[in-house]
Parts: sequence; structure tokens; C-alpha cells
Amino acid sequence: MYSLHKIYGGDLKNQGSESFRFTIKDFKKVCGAFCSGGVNLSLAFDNGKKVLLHGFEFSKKPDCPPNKRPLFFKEPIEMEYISGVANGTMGKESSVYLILE
Amino acid sequence: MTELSKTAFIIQCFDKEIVNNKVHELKEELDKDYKYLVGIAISNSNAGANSILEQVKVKGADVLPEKFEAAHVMSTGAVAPNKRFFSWFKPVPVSGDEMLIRFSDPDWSANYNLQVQVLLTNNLEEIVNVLFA
Repeated sequence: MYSLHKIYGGDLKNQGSESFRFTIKDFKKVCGAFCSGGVNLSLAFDNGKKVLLHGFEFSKKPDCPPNKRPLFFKEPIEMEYISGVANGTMGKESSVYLILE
Repeated sequence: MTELSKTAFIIQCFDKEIVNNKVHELKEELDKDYKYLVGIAISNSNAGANSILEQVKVKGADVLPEKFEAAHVMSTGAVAPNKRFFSWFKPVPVSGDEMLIRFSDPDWSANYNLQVQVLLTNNLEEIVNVLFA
């Protein structure tokens, strides 16, 4: 079964770019990620050693089924913490979510 | 593959007239004949693209993270009806429990009827196969 976790929520104050870090507890696999439309997302796992996304742009896709919109990782990853950067319109309320299993 | 017609499920609808850009509360008891809440959807024909699900709770516990963008659970008529649900959360065991939804639409400009649909089932394995197929 899946669980949804918000790992960033804010209004992209720093000229539209904010970094964040998130420690996973009680979960060992990350199955996917998604975020607000118009945000470019970078994500690094394994204490910053493994970059999985680099400036990936998520867009709003209302013609796509909601369950198909997240970016799914082929290989679930075990990790200690993940870090990331969200880029977008400064002042726009934005969020980043991970799907954990 | 599981056929939808053989799956025991129900779609329960919550309706509320949205009359301003403030937070509106939808509260209703879930159908007591179903054991799990597995999906949530909003028709995007009325609600603004920047609408927010401030809270979605059952028995006081969060189903979705707070301030969840409603766009994540909205889809157009181009999406098949059985694929319009967002299900990337842990299935919630229910038993006629009360569900609370707090919704706001910052771009509200005229009154409209909001309909939130929730998907309930007794057969978790089967419905999950349908939702993620």
C-alpha cells in the first residue's frame, strides 16, 4: 500500500527557488513523486549521491488520469534522507510530494 | 485484469454550493456498508484550477496532506469515469465514519456547486487493481 507525504510546501520565496531536505522514517521505498504544476523539480537520494531528477518540469494535465500523473521510479530506492530544489514562480504556493511504500 | 463490473464499490458524493473565496466545509457520514475509502475526485467543470483542499479527514485523521491542491484530484471529461480518482494514499478503513472536507477556491468569481466524489469498497485488492491498471 502507498502513503503520501508532503516534503516541501511554501511560496518559493528565494527568487522562485527553494531547497529542502526530508528524512524518511518507517518507509524504505520511494515509488514516485509529483508537485505543483509549473514547478521544476530536482531530487537527490542516498544522502545527495544519487540524483534522480534534475530540473524536471511538472505540468498540470487535467486530461490525464490523476493516478497516472506522478513520476514513477522504476526501482524503489532505500535511503536515509533526500534533498531537492523546487524552481518556479516566486511567491506561488507550491508543494512537492513523495509516494512511499 | 479485474473487470470493473465485478468489483464491489460505491461512489459517494458530497455537494456544497461555493458562494465566496472563503473556506467551505463539507461533512457527511460515509456509507456504513463499505469498509475502505480508496479514492477521491473533483469534477473540474466548476472549481477553479487553484482551488485547495485545506483538509480531508476521516475520524480526525488526515486522508490527504493539508492544503492539498485540488488540481491533483481534478480531471476533465476526457478521462474515463473509473480513472478520475486520486488514490495515492493509504486506504482508509471506515465504518460509517464522518468525513470532513474543507475546501477553498481563491479564484472564485460566481456561485457554483462543488461535487467531491469518494470511492468506497469492500474488496481492497480488486479495486486497487482497477485504479492502478
